[in-house]
Amino acid sequence: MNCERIKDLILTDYSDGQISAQGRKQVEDHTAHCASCRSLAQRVLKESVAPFQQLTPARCDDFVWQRIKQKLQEPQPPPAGVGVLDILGNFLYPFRPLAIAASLVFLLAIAPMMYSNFTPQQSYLTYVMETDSGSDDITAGVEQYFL
Amino acid sequence: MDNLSPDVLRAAAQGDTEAFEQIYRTYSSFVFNVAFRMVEAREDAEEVVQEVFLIVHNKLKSFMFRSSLKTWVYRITVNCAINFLNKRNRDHKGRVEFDEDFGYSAGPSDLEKSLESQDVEHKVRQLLTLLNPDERACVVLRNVEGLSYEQIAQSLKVNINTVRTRLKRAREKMLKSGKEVIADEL
Repeated sequence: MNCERIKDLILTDYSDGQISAQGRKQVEDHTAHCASCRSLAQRVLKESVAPFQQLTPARCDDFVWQRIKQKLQEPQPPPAGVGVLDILGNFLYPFRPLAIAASLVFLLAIAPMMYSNFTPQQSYLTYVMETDSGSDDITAGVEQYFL
Repeated sequence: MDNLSPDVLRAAAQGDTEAFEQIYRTYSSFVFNVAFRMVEAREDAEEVVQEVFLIVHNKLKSFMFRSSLKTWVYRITVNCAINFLNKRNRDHKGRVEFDEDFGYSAGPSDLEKSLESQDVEHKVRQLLTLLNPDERACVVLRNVEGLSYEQIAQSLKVNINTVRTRLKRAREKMLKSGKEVIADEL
């Protein structure tokens, strides 16, 4: 293993004791003859691991439990999402396939009506486009006027 | 099930406050310890502890035991602490206030020991302030709580290699800071 790989292991698995026995041996064989990696291993332990091991566990004051207990005994608001719409939604849920079928029937029923309303407009547009063949002439006329 | 019987958990999930107190007594030390190291100030850590246990209480019914209860509580703790840090950073624009109450008490006869502890506390706080919340969570769970990489990955719901990467970056930052301190002293 090269120094880069060894340094990665020193910064993580090796210093945390999360490395296999074989991995540990490889790191130690390498650090035995590589001063730079050996120095890194010593610094990692001294500067970034050891201080945490010397900590005194912090203690939580008992009044925190009293506060939690008080909160638990307060009347709870109704859980979010249980409104009128949710109750209605739950009530209608078994009828959902029926609602989908009714929507489809409704769409099929109004589609011809929409088509029939649309046709005259389309015919009118087609008529204008066919008869108004001189639309380009307006521009030409303006250009001619200024020239 | 982390030394808590299924009966206790069932009773707590059904709203039995005494049963829930047993859960609190079992987990409050590590919840507070993690919260305290993450958010630095004692009062803030207490606020996080309160939030964590209210969430545990509300969600206990829906907890499916796919992971251990302890891992689940760790996850809630870290998430609450990170949210707290993000909120505080937004409110105070990144200003970090040191709390001189280090969370332990010592008698006058322990003065020397107390000063030594304060030095360690100060050093650890300095190191932790170098890290972003994700890196800090990994360092606290590994170096303070002694969790394995696998347990950290489960607690944070991330890949084990993400844990390695965060720890590596965290240690690089700590070492860099140490070098700068030595350079300043010289």
